[in-house]
Amino acid sequence: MNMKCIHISLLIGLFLLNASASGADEEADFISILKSNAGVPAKCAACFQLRRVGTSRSVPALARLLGQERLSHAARHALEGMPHPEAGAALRQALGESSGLIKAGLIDSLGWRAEPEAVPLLIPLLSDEDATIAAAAATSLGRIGGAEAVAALGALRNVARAGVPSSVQEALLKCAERLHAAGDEAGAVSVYLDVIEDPVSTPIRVAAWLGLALSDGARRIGLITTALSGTDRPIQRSALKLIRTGEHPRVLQACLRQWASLPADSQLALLDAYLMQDATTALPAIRFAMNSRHLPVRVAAWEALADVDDPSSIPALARAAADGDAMEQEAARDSLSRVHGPGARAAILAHLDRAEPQHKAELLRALGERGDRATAKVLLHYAAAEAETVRLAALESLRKLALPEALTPLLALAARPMSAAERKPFMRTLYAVTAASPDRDQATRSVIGAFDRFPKEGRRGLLPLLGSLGTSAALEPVLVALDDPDAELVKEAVRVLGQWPTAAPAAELLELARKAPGSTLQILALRACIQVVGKEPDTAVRLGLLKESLSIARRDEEKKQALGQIGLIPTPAALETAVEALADPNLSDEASLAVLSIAEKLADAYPELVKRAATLVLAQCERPDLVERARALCGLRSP
Amino acid sequence: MKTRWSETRRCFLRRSGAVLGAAWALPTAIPASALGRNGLPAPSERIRMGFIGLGGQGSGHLLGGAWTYVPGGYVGRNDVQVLAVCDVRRERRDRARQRCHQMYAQKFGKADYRGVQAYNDFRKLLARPDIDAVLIALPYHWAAPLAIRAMRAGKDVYCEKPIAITLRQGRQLLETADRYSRIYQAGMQQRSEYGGRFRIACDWVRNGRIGRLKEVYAYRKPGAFFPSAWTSDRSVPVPAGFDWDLWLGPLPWRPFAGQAGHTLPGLFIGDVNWSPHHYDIIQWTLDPDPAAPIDVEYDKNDNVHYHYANGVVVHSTAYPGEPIGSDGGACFVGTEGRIAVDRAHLVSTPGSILKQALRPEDSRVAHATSHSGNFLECIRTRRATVCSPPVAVYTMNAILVGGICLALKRAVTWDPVKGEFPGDQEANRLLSYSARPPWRI
Repeated sequence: MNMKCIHISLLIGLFLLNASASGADEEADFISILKSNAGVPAKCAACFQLRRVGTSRSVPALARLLGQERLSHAARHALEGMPHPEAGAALRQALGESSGLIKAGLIDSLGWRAEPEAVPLLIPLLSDEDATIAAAAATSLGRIGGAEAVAALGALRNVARAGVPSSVQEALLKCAERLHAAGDEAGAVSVYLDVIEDPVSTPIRVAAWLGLALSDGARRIGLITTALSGTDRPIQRSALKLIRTGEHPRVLQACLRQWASLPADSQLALLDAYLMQDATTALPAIRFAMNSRHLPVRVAAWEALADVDDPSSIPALARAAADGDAMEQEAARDSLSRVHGPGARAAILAHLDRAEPQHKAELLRALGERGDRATAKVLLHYAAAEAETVRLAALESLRKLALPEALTPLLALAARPMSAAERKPFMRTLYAVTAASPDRDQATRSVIGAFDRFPKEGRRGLLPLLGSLGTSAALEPVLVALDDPDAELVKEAVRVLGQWPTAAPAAELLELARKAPGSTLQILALRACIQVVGKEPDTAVRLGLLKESLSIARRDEEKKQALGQIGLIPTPAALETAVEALADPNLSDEASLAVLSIAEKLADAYPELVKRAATLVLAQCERPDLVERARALCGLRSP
Repeated sequence: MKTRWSETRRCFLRRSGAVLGAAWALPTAIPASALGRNGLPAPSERIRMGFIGLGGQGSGHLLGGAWTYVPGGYVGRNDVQVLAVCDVRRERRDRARQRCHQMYAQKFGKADYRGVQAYNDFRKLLARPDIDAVLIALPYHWAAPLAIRAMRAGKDVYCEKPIAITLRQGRQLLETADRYSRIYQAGMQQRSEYGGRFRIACDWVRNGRIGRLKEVYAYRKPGAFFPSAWTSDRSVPVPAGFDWDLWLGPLPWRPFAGQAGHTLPGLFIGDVNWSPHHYDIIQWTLDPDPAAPIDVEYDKNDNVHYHYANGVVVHSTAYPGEPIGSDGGACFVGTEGRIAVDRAHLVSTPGSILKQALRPEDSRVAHATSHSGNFLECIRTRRATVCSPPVAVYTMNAILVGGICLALKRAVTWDPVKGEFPGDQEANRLLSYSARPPWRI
């Protein structure tokens, strides 16, 4: 093992033990590594540890490394972070004995330590021939600050040397920030004015402008209002960001006075700034914004109204929602659905009476969006309105809310004479209400009770309501409808029964399929029967009904539908039925699919039966995916 | 509190920003006559961008890809014009430039399009006054130094995580963004993407749907820059076309040893790569007082537990028995239930918690549905992004503070206002590291 490996091993050991060792012991160990002939990695690692635990005792050993190319950085890292004045002194001492990048690094570390003692050493370096060193000195002087540093930096702020002026001006900005933070606004303003007089770049100009606007109370309003309405885009963008902080109320007020002359993005920023304040303060700005000639600003105003608790804005929101540009409509509608605070709901209801039909519709729509369940009476009132837009909006909200107490009044409204097109939205709403009804028996009684009040052509629409309720009492009138002379009513009844939540109507549908005089009705009934049979929990009963369906089906379509249901019954009897169907070449794919679906579920319990069934599938079926599944059940590898 | 007001408002003013977003260079909406070829915004209205770092993340942002959130990447957007790409690996920058040229040749109908420059040295890219914004996707140690340099050069910045590797870098990032009035978006995109799952979790927890928030499980350890080796003597030949010295940048010099990915082995303790996603969502939901101290406790299993001033405890571990949360997420536990969220899942216990919609009077956090879209919109409006420097640095600080706790294997207390560990000299020495010259920031 060579010496380098020994030292690294020692260091790792020390590192692992450092939790138990005392700080002084650790430090001594690391110092001894620095003094040894250990390799660069080991010495650097020791420096890194001394950053954490080193005291003034470590400084001499570290200082000796500052001039060495591969060790200087690690030693500097240790010394830079030590809160001991000896560390700073060592770095300053090394400054005079170094050059190039090592010196630039030392300068950087002195800047971070921010000890005033470094300033006299750094100032001459601003004029160093090496631009890297001069720029580093500027940066460090900026971090340390103080009158001496400011004066030196100020004197050199425009010296034309690659990379240096930007570092000098950036350092001046930092110095000014420090002066401002310390309460010396005049000092800060003086520095900013110097920089802004001849900035080295646009970013520096922007930063100096910003600093000036923040520091100079006398100029602030003029600077910002000019920037916001002006054409200097970099400065204007900075002003936009500044104003959004909302931290200068007098500036905001001054800008608001110039509202009409501001471009869209300035108005928007001003509105944002006011929204940082309380609602009362923000309202005047929002009112300006509502009437802005700029679309984005109006959109922002409508958006903002959602949160300012201002009931008086409801009429304007309704107007914007009804009549505005598409973006305005979207924003206003969203706000109408969200506006809250005391009086918001009352304001909506109060304005409903006075509003134009289109605006009324927006308010009614908002009541539904708001999930306001106490508004059933109002919505029902407007559901009977003459104006179609109002009526539809009320019904849409009633549909969204699906309030049980609205069922009977809605049935009464829908029972009135009207066209089928007019009745459709009522029935849609009624469907939502019945589907959400917590007391299904009571709802069933209400719907059945409405049958006689509905005009004949409207009764058809009641059947889906009964279907959605799915109670035993609801089934009876739908079954009765199967015998009605109105053919369309019968078809609707068949459709509803096919979607019944239980298999209760299966037998009646099968009977109808057998006896129905017209082939269309027979097919519909058979399809509905097969559909609803799938809800029969007893698999034997289900299979029996499906076998009957298969036996009376005349068309392949219904046979395929039945096979699809049989494939979901995982019993040997169902498998047998499906296997029998394999003989029909028109059904071979569907029968194969049913056989395989069942067989895959029975494979563990009935391996031989399954294998036989799968073998039959292989003999009948050519569909590649099904052949693959059948081969798998037969234990055959893919060809 | 003002900052909370601000964020609440911002989410409802999102449409106006999008409308205003139609105009970038001009203060009002674009007239049809200003539109360029094929109805695209004219070049002067597009945001002109440079891409620095063209590995998986950077090229994904630039060109699109499986994980990215904008089909076709930035180069496919009509409101962006990519002017430059930059990488210390020649093959990466050349490939990216070639792909950009292909895309633009097709888009603009100019077969010989050559408007994208490729750079090895980012300083040349940053010196271009015609570039408005840069996207930075670099090894961890370069993220903050380069973002700071870019902002000093007057560029707006989108920066991939981890956005800083020391607490001092975070402070400088904040100062620079303020000083130069720059727009900055941190690449913690969970605030915007993934179908809004994280935003919903945040809104529900903040509005008390799980009762009073008690604990949060982060499913991920924090981390910090804490090298197990400062340098090394291992060496292999540097591949042709790879600028190893520039890759290293401010890190201590070492010979190339064949490893130069997201970072070098052994430079960090804990996790600084994925933890930003987890801890960002946690800070967002927790809504802590940004001025209040945080106590971080260390346990014998090498986990940390953050004790926030509002009484919430954040654990670096997983919630026992809850698998959802490991993919960038967290589990929030309240007095009346819990919500677990990650990139693909959002669940509550009991399940009814998430079925209750927000009411009109409930607060909402900032709403963005595209992280890159939010960045570009904020460049135009000069609004703060959803992951602005104060937000991103607060999260990164939490991670780095936890990492220092892991490094020291003991409890620490962090004072975010002073930016230090009060009275804890050992921890304070880990606030920063010295950069290799000339890469000072």
